[in-house]
Formats: sequence, C-alpha cells, structure tokens
Amino acid sequence: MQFWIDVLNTGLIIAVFAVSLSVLLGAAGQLSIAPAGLGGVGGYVAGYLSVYHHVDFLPALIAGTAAAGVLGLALGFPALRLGADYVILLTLAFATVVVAVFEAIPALGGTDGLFGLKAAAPFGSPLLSPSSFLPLVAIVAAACFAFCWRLNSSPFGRVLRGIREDSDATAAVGKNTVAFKILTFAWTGAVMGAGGVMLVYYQQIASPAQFSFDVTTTMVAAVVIGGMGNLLGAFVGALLLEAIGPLLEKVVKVSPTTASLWQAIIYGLILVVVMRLRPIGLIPEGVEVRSGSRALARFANHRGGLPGRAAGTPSGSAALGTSAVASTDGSDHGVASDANETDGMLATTGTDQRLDELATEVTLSHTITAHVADHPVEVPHLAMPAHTDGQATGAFAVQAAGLVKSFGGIQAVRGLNIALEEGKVTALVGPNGAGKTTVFNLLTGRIRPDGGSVTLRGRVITHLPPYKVARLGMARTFQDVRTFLRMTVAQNVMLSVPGQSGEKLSELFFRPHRIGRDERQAREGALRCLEFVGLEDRADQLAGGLGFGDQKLLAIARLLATGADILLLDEPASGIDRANLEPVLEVIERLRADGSTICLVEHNLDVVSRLADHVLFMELGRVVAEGTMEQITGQPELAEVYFGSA
Amino acid sequence: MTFSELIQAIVNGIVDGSLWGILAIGFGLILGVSGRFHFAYATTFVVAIYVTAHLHTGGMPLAAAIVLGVVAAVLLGVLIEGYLYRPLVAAAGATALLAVFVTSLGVVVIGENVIRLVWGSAPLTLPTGYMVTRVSLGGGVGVTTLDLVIAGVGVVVTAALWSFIRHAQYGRAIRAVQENPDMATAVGVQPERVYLFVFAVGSALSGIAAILLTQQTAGAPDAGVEPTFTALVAVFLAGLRSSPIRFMLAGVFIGLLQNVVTIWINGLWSPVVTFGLLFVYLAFLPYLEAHPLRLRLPRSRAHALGQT
Repeated sequence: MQFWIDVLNTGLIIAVFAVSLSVLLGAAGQLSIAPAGLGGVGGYVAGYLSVYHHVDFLPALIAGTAAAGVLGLALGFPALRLGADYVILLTLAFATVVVAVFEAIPALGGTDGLFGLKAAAPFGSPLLSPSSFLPLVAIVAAACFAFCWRLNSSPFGRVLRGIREDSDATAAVGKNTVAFKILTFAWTGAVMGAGGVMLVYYQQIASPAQFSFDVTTTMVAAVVIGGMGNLLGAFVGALLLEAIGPLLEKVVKVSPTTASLWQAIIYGLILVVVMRLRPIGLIPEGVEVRSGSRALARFANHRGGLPGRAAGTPSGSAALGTSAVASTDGSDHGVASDANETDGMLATTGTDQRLDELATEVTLSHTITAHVADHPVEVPHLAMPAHTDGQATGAFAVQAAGLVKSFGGIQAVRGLNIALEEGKVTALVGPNGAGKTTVFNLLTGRIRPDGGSVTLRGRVITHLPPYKVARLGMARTFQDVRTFLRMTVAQNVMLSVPGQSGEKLSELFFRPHRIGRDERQAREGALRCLEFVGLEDRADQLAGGLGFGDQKLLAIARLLATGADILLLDEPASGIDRANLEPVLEVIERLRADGSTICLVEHNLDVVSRLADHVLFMELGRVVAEGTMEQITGQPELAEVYFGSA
Repeated sequence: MTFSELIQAIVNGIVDGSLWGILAIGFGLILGVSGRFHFAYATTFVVAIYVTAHLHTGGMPLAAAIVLGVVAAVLLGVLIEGYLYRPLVAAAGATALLAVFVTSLGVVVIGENVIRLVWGSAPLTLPTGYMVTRVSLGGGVGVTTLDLVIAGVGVVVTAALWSFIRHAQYGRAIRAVQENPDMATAVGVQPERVYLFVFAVGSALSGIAAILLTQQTAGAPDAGVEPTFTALVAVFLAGLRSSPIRFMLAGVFIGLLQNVVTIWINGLWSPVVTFGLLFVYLAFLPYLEAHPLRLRLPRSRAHALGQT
C-alpha cells in the first residue's frame, strides 16, 4: 500500500508543477520551460534553511515559494520582449544555470545533493512515511490547484488568453499586457517553487537530479496530455504519467529500472503522438468555464457546421466558412470613374500646413458645436472615467502635430498634422504605403513617433502605451481584424470591458462576491455591445467560427466595450463582400449618429463618401489635401496618385 | 594559474570550441533555414555514436562504421523532418514553434531510453584508429594528435560549408529560403526540399562532432543533450542566420570561455558561465536591439512591425 501512496504523493507534487505550467504555457501562451528550475530554487532554498538553520517546514515552504516567485518575476522581464523561440531558450538556459549552480556550490552538496533535512512536522509529529505525508501533499496540491484554477478561470485568465491569441490586440482594448505577463510569470513561479519544496521535503534530499531536464519533460508531457490551458487535464495527466512506471513494475512484472525506461519512452511517445494529432493538447481547453456540458455541445455544434444566422439580424445570409472575401478592386474601379466625373473644388494642397491653419480651416468649413461625450443613447458605454476629464478643449477630440516616423531609412510619416473633430467621421485615404496605418499606430501609441505630438482632449498622449490610450477613450481596430479565435464571441467582447475587479489578483482572492457581480455586469455590457452590432445571438459560439464580415462587426463590438468614444477603424470594409458590407456600414452610421468620433482608413471610396464628413488625402507620409469627398475626388492629380496615371 | 597553464587552457579551448563550432554550424543551419527548434539534434548525435560503436564491435572496420554511423544520423534527421515536423507545422499553424519543440523533446526522451534498453546505460568509448600521442608546442604546452584532427575537421567543415553556401547553386537556394521562403517558392525553389537538405547536413555534422567528442572523452545515452545546449548558446550568440564562420567563431569563443573558467575557478562553474552568458545575453537582447552597439556580435533578426 505504501508503494501506491508513494506514487500518489509524487504524482500530486508533479501535478502542482503541471497545473502552474498549464496556466503559463496554455492559457498565457508563454513558452516557458523553466518549471524544474523554479522548483529547484524553491526546493534548495527550503532545504538550505532546514539543514543549516533548522527552520521548520512552514517557514521553509513560504521562503521557497517566495524565492521562486521572485525569480519567476525576474524571468518574466526579459521574456516580455523576446520572440517565442528566444523565450524557450531563455527559460532553458535559466533551468540549466540553476541546476549547474547547485552542483557547483559545495555547501549545497554538489552533484550528490543536500541531505539531512529536518522532517516536516506541520501537524506536530514528523511525517516520515508516505501515508503520513499524504495529507500534507494533498493540502498543498489542493491549495496550489485552487489558486491556479481561480487565476485561470477568472477575468484575469481571460486577459491571459487574449494575450496568447494576440498580445497587441489585447493591449489595444486597454489591458496592460506587460503587467499581466509579469504577474503570471511570478505567481506561476511561486507555485512551482512550492512544488519544489514539497518534493525536497518528501524525498528528504535536494539534489540536481530532482530538477533535471528529464523532470521538465514529465511536466510538459502532463500539460500536453491534459490539453494546454486545461488545468484539470494537467492535474490528472500528471497522476497518470507518474503511475505508468509503477504499473509496469507491478502489473507487467519488469524490473524497476526497465519500468522507468519504458515510462520515459511512453512519455516521449505521448509527446510526439499528441502533438501530431492535436497540437493544442489532448483535451480541449473548454470553451466556457461556466458549464462544461454546454460548452461541449457548442463545441460539437461548431465542428458540425454552424447554422445560418437567425432572421432579423443585419447580415442575414452570411454563410460561414465560405464567407467570400471579395477583392476590393471592383468597387475601387467604380469609384475611379466617379472621381473622373465629379468636378469638384480643391480645398487645400498645402503640404506644410500648420496645425493652427488647419484648425481654422476646418472650423470654418464645418460649423460645429462642441460635442459632449455623455451621449445618452443606446451605445452601450460602460462606466468610463476617462470621459469626465479633458472635455473642455472644444472641437477636436484628437490633434496630432508634426508627427515624424522613419523605419530604417524610410520616412513613413513626415511632418503629419491631423485633427479629428468631435462627433464627426474623418477618413484617411491615399495610395498603399502612404502611411495611413502608421498614423493609427502613432496615434494609439503602438509605435512611438520620432517627433511631434499627439493630444487627446487637451492631454498629451504622445508617449503613452496603447493600453493607456485606450483607457483614455481612443481605441482602434486592425486591418486584419485580430479576433481572439479560440475564445467565444462574448469573451472576445468581455475582455475589453474596462476596470474589471476580477483582473486584480487581490480582489480575485479576497473579494469573490464583487467578482461575481462584476462578471455579470461585464457580460451584460458585452451583450449590449454585441446587440448593437447584431451579433448577440452568437455570443456563446467560438469566434473562430465567424465569417470575416462578422469578425469585423465583432471587432467594432470589442471597441465599444472599452468605453472608448474615439474610434479608429482600420479598413472596416476591406475583404468583405457586398452582402456583408451593409451591416458594417450601418453600424458605423449608427455610431456616428450617437456622437462617436470616428477616423477611418479605407480604400473603398464608395464607403468613404457615404460615411466621411471630412476626408484627408495622404501621400508619402503627409496629408496633401483635405476637404469633403467631392472636393477630393474632384482633383485629377489626386486620382492619378491614387489610381496611377490614366 | 601559471602562464603556460593559461596557454594550455587557450589551446584546449580552441579544440573544444571546434567541436561546439561544428555542432553550432549544423544546428544553426537547421534552425536558421527551417525555423524548426530541433532539440532532437541531441538524438542524431547519440545515434551516430551508438551505431558506430555497435558496428565496430561487430567487426566492421572503424572507418566504415563511422561513415555508417553518420549516415544513420542523417537518415534519422531527415525522417524526423519529413515525417514529424513537416506535417506538424502544417497542422499546428500558429502554435507550430511549441509543437515542434515539444515533439523534439519527445524524440530526445524516446531516443535516450531506447538506447538504454538496447545497449545499456554504461559509458561508451570509441577508438580513434590511430595512435593518439602528445605533440609538444613548447613551454609545457601540448596537444594530442586527436586534438589536431578535431581542429582540422573544424576548419574543413567551416570552409566547406561556407564556400558551398556562398558559391554553389544549391547554396544560393538555401540562402533564398533562409531570407524568405515565400519569395524562394516564387522563384522556383522548393522550401520543403531545402529543409530536408539542411536536416541532412546538420544531422551529419552532429554525428561527426559526436564521434570526435566520444573519441576524446566517452559517450552515454544522454551524451547529446549538453553539447546540443552548448551549440544552442553558440548559435544564438552568433545570431540565427549567420554564416558558418560566425557560428564556428562563437563555438570557439565558448570553448575558450569554458576552459579559462575551468582553470580559473573550477570545472563545475563552466556550465554556469556558458548558460549564464546566454541568459544575460537574452535578458539584454531587447535592450541591445533597441540600442545597437557597433561591435555587437549577433546579427539581429528583422523584427517586422506589422505595419503596411
């Protein structure tokens, strides 16, 4: 019996590692393979304290956990800015260095390891046999599992999955992705440290072999079997893996040595076969945390081909999977002839126009009343503190002056001035490579300008990161929509809701009631946004199953949920066919009617002339002309720039 | 530490470094061209020495056994690419990097333990086939004839691959795929075939280095892991898409560092220094990329910002 309890104890300890690794690897998508290294830090710290300073189990556990957490944090900082292959390498190097350091320091016992720990005695008497140790392991494993589970299935975990799917897009809806990643590295590191402490106390030795590369392989195998990001799977996977060798030994009656070899071979085969069959792991992550069976049903539904949309929603016949991605060429040519027919008037061609001149110009041409952001309309704005400040600046929501940006030797933007009028739709048009998307990147802080400034309602935001810009009320969509494909439609939108208490770890663990309430509110808010764009009946489907047109609508819903009222839409109409175009345009028109400030980058000039109050024509990183659509299309020179000489 | 000890450490460092350099060239070719994080490089490494030892103890002449050992490594490498990685990358899409790494981890574990089952876990030695004598370089400093062979193979491998990639027609195809697989496809190069080719060459180099290293010290079922780690360090220090010369120099640099650390502190600290170096380098890489030094060793990879 002690034999199997021993297996169970070891399995539970490995499960602690596997579960935290599953959060990091699966949910957050960080390719860190340092669990054994961090476990080693925890284990050796506890072992050292016990052997040399006769510290009791509980303080040693806390110290080991904290030490691993701090190192996990330190590991998170460089990992943040590195590409995925470098992160694998960084964590690999870390794990190797840690073990090598233990081997090199004589006081830590070198390659033999550190002996002579004081047996753990948290309940009074020392725990010496596997069965007496089992309650302690069970308690620690349960605590670690509960911690990781809470982390993973909360709004915090939702942000992690957003980061995994698309870090930039997550930052663009106002999430401080850097802080989330760092915190995840630190807390999962702490859990791994706790696992290391348990391993050291259980085996009464801290040795390099306990934290070697082979151990990492076991942990990765457990995560892979369980499915990346599926914590219960990782937990069960670890127990199963640990049982393979003992089963071979007892059932097939092979020697312990041979059993351990076969156990390792089976690990390896599992890794190879599972990756081949299902690269995201054996068991799916679970589409929805709230109810497993419903999620599975939906998953099956999704796989079996989704039904057409219910009647009464905007994009009626959007056929999924086959959603035609129409080339925009057709419509562009149509507009080209338009442009030639219209005989309009030149507004401005001054390329070195100053901002103040521009300001006067625009104020004169459109008599406007300063728009106040408190629109009492059905735009589902959630509480958004940013709206209350900086309202007094008047006509312009956003002003950028003298923006300069070069990439290598190429000047993408050279002295650009742009002002977005409150409550109006401004369109940026111009040939490919004019720098239109770069303007969005500069305005939202995704790239930093080499010179110039950006002001949002009187506040300078030139050097703010994207998530802060989004929180101040300016958010953008991306040309390539950047849907979080492996999350549901509702989760995509809920992620954007600002100020969720469940994203703060202190609230997450100490104020559960508030989390539940906030979560309901976030979902209601998300559903309102989805209703606004007409996707409410697909809220609980996987976003990856949406057609491209619907994904564009989802991107807008995501934008609305941030509470932003300055919306930068990067090619909202590109890549979708005419049938799916209309709902997108209607949504934008309703947003305009509700008083949002909108800036469009768009190639389809039909769309621009229908939506835009004001058009800026860009070429080679500058605004070369501006005015109404008629004024712009009336200039043969511009048409030539845009469409090539006739 | 006397002066002659230091010189001896430098000489040893160059010899060891030649081995790391050969391994780095092979690993760098695979990673730089195909983008596969081929950790199972450690497996082609051990397969070469075990096949060679098996054939030789079975009575085959050493030279033939070595050739077949290297051929076995090549076959294994090509099979891994063709039957494991390629379909995996096609299926895994965005998570391909992790999938390839996890698969190669699995291959390493399988390879190591199958070898233990078949040939046991005892250390393995390989004869050189010639008398290993010590050649004095004066002042108490010397090298063995095996050391000279190792350094010589290092020079030949570096020169051969450098001139092949630079001048041969197929070498140009490799560079084209390295720069941009899609463009290479457009001009008629098949990336899949180039990948198989670099896996073949890289695996051959892992086998050659493995046999030399085993002749110098000894082999074991897990003997491939640490050299692969070291090769990784060299590859990343040199920069992923470097020329063979640069990989070799990075390898020699690590060899020197390890040997100097060994006589300066002790041998136990040498892996700490090697991987610590990589760790520090990676930790500061983002900073280095933002503020390039003029004398910077690596060539940074182009980080394409998603702007159009």
